[in-house]
Amino acid sequence: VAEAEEVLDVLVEPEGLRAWRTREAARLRCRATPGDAYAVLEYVRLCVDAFRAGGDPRHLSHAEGAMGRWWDLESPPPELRLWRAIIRQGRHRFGEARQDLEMLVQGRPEMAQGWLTLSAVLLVTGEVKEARLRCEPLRELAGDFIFTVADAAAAGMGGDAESSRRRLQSLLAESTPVSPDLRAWACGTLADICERLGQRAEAESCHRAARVLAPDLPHHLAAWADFLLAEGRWREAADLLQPHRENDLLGLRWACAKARLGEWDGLYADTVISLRAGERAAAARGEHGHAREEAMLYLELLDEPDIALARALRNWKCQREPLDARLVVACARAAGRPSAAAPVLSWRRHTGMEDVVLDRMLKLLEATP
Amino acid sequence: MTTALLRRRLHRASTLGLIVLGGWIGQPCRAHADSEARIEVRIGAGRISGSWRGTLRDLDHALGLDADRDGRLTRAEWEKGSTRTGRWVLEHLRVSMKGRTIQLEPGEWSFPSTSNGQGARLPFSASLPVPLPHLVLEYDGFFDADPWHRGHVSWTWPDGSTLHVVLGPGRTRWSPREESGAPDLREAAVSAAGRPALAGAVAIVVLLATRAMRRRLRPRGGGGAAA
Repeated sequence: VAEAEEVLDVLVEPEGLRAWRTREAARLRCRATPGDAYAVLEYVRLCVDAFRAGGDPRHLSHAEGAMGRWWDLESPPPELRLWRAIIRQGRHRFGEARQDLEMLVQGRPEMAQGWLTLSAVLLVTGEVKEARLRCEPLRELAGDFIFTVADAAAAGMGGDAESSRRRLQSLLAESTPVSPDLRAWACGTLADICERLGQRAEAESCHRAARVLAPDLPHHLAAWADFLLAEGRWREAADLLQPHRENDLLGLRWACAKARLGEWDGLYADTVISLRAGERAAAARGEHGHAREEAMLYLELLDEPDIALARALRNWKCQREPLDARLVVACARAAGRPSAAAPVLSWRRHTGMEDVVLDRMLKLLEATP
Repeated sequence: MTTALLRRRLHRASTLGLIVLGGWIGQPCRAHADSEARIEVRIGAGRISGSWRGTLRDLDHALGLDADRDGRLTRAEWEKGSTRTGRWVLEHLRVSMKGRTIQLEPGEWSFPSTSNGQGARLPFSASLPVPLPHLVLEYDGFFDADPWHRGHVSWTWPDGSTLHVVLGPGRTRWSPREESGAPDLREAAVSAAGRPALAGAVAIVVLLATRAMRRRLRPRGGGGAAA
């Protein structure tokens, strides 16, 4: 009996069971009624939620699979086109996502989610002015809170960080009734702006607030860990991420902190081996969508600055957030090739993005022989 | 359902998405790896053997092995569905020659740890005729529900040379000899002649060929006299 009850695998942690069962029920409805766009949409939404909560890309694959024939259509129904774009965004296929979203808002300008996601995609790809322009319709369509956060995020990347900070502070001081997720988004955006302005104490309190509002969301944890790593607070970063190291995004940062602490234990070795295996598997598939994490892996853990620089520059071609800019500069310095950071400098002149962390790194880069 | 109603319901669902996605926008992230299976094939002396290795999570997603849906797959639940699971794997992993499917015999499941979750490995084997004609490998596991699943194939010839290929929804069929410039299977079989069964088979082929040649060369009707 004991052997029969042996657990071969925990497929879902107890806290995720309810969401899993809901998703499974939606999948069965999808299967039972192929061609029912509503059933597909419901399942796709649940899969994207699961991806967002746990970071497992298989959920995005399941969503894509469920879309079936709609996935390849040139003009799918607008709601499905929206979710196709969201899945493509999650897969770092920003060009395709943008194309879908541009078509979507053209045909259905009343769809707030289309504008919001389009603005986010443009911001990730470094097209700051365009991102801000696409926020404008949100003022009417999505209400003041969402418009302000989206607009401040874009303006804060385009040389207007201080006024964006003030706008977000005022917004969060108001008692607007919004979901914790939305409030966490506002806190995370404000934390990023404060960090770039060098207001570290406020950045830290915003990160902490975001974590309380949306505990354990991978992207919040990653942002908070990046802040701690940039501050040289390795121990805090390692402790924060220790329970989440199964997630590659967080395991990578955990291993970076452990390496800085000089704690190369068995768990550290397992994590690095696992990250390397993931990178190799992606390469074997011919996928190059996650060059940011690969650059971090080669720079921080594998001591291969030339490879890291190549990955950071490849990442820079499609993803241009402050972290990506810092990564190119750090890799260029480590590889002893300061001139390789030229695309970042040029982009920064173009956008006017303020970032004291990047400033510090650029000074060090200038001093590189 | 009327179009108007469908439209309203779809719109309601996408409005919900606006709220749910708020904290995620602009933060694409990666964790774990996409679904994959490792397929090893070895061509030996008159025999094909190998293994398929995937994850229990993926198998459960396809086949619903966790019968009580409590999120924990027990050995009892596994045992109950293991034959069906093995059959499913070998239905999606086929080796054929000249259009004839080779019946792969499943072995005993084992559960190795993998970097992508708890693994499940199924060995398989079958006999192959000698000399070996063209072989074709087909794999389409999970593709209907997961278009990002990939089968990483490692194919080893009798001489020890190994080929690799990644199969996905865009390429489910692979003919190693034709596409890779791999050694001719018959030559490879000869090079592996140290193995008893194949050596025996090769010896028989050589013996038959020699006899045929002798018959052809032998003068008909008392050639010695004619000479």
